[in-house]
Amino acid sequence: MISCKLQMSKNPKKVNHEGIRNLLKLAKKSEYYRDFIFEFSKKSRKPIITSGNNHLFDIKNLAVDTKKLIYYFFDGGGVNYLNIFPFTKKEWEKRNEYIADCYKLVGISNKDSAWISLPYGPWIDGHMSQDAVRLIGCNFLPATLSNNQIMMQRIWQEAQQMDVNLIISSPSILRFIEKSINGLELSSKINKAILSKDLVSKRYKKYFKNKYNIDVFNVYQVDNIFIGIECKYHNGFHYDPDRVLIEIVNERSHLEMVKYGNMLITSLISEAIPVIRYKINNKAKINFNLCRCGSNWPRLNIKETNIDKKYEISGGVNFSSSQISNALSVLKPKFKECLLEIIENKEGKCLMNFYIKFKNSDIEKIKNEKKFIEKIKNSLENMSLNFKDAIFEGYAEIVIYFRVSNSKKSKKINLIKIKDKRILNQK
Amino acid sequence: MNRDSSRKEIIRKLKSLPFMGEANLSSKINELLFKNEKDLRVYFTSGTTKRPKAIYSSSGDIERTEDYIKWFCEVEGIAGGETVAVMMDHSLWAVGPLTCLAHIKAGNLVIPIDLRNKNAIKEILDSVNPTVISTLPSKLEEFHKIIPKKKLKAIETTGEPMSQKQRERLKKIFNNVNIFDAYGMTEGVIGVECKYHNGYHYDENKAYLEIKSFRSNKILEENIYGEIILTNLLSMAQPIIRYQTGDVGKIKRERCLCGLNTPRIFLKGRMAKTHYILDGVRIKKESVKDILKNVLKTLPKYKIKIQSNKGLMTIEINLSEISETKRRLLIKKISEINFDILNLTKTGQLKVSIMVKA
Repeated sequence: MISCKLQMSKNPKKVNHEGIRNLLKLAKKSEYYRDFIFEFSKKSRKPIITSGNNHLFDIKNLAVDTKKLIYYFFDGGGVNYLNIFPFTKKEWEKRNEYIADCYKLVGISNKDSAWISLPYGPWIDGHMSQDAVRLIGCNFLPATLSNNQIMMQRIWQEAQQMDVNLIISSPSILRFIEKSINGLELSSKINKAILSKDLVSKRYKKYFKNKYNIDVFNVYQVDNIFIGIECKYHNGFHYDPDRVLIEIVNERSHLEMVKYGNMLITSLISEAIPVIRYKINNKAKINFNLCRCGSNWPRLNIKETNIDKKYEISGGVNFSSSQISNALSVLKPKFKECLLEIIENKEGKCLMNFYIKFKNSDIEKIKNEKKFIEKIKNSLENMSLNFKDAIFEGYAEIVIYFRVSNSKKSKKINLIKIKDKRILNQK
Repeated sequence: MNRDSSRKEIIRKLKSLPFMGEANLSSKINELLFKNEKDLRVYFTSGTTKRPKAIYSSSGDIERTEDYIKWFCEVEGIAGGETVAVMMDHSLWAVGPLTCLAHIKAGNLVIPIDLRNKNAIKEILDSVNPTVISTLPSKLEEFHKIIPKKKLKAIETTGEPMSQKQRERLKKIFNNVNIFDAYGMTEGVIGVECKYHNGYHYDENKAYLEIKSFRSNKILEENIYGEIILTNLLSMAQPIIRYQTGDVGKIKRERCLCGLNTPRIFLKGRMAKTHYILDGVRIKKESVKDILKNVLKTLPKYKIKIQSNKGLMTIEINLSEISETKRRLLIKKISEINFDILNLTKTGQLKVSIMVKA
């Protein structure tokens, strides 16, 4: 048994003790946390970090009776598993109230009219944003993106008639919208964009500000855990410490919150599957100084790192090199290296060229194996639910090239290098 | 004035109002409404033109409609404790989100699914083992092999008419699970079948129906077929008053075997000859005829054939003779006949072909 104490004594702000106690009570009912004993002590200074977050989002880890649930959403996952996000009514309402509060923080009011172009269906994003803007009282158009420009233009016509001035989307979907409609029209109508799913670079924000006069506000969420939002000063993600608890750690101990380290996220509004000390590899620190925007919520400053770097394809879908490595590990001969080139055409569709290098001696084996390319393609397409859907809907296409390991290196730049994880593990 | 006479007075006033056609839904008045009101959302409904009709709803409208559909769940006997996979579109069109919200109100757990990839749908369905499937009859046919049947208690269908033959076929596929069909449109939710499948029960205080003569504006008596006229009493943001649905039906008021004494509406197709394609998307024979006349300048003998081949729907129009240019123009015009057809063709779900047969 491992004793795990939630450590927050270094957080100078008030801590939502009751929220933590309730969460820990719930966690005892979840299989995932069965091996941990949670104690809460504000005096404790000894940090114990929970091991990995693998497969937390699974039905078997429910902490409540299924009769209490109102939604199952899905996301990502891997080759052989799906991430399932169950919600109780209370949790759904609390979460969307939090999102509405975050939207209000960036000045969204019932005077705004929003086009919510996030994915709907089994994905949480569209449903959640829709409920949040409903709470604020905005007019809104729930219209996810379409994979053809004519349809996008038609949706845009409707958006114009509704005086839409706010787009709630993801970074890649906003780019897709930009390509699908006349940019000039975008500039004359839209003045705000709230982007979730991925982190947005300063360059990206500057581009939309300079070209279209659109203020881009980035939302920070990881694995569907909603964390916070940037204000107009773009100096970190504001988060409500009563709803989200963030600890900064390194491999061995807690760090001072103002120093960069890995994050442990505890969502105090999670219920169906309690999210406790969920480890996130992005490096971050916390800024407790009062922001110029006037909000007294602390800010999370994320350091851009290469750990689990995400790459994106059209359709608002992203993936990491480790996901590809996992997908390729179904191959019998281990590959030496896989280079991925993503080329986007004018319509915003992506061609994904995979250059897979094998040892000379393995080439014959590959030639003899039936349907080898199909097998690789199939495994890559099934990398995650989002990816599978993007390929099916035609946002991206996979092309496989084989190379022997001593072939000349490609001169092309911007290639994503993926190593066989089995070789890496051996090392 | 007592309640009955007050109601009679309201109905008398309602009947003095003019009928509302499809064109009224895309009038400028609605756009002005939208610009001046708050807390509105817009859903779309297929029209006969290239532009979809926009229907505006307030949160109050949505909540009242949720309550009404919750009653449907009660009539179907699936209110509470069910795991419901709602396999419909969840943005743009109202029926998916409304079905989800109503089931949640009825105490069920909901899984919204709008994917088209069979493997992905299978993966989700297998992981949750739904007890209820809510979808369109054409989707049931398309996905029947991947729907887990072990725990299935009921199937809800809507969006497309379901023939008796199709119902029997689906019942057989799904091991005699009860299939409840609901009748409605984006302009208003109307009614639902009970276990006796003898017409759609509806609540007159939520959806007020009248039956209009095909030839005149005369309102017909009970039990006589005519065009169904809908007044949506749940929608306040964008009033739908005496809306000509284009559907043919009759009203019966006698008590049903299930014990409910609400009126029932019996459907008998559409006023205009209509072909249903997929996901409730339809094409009017009259619209195709107009395009043919327009492009070919005369109206030759033709035949429309709708068929499904390995997941791809095709509209095949057989003509005796046509030039290549005109053939291409016809395909283009028919592919763009309305917003939904355009969407299906652009997403590769539908193909329009012109066959020349001597």
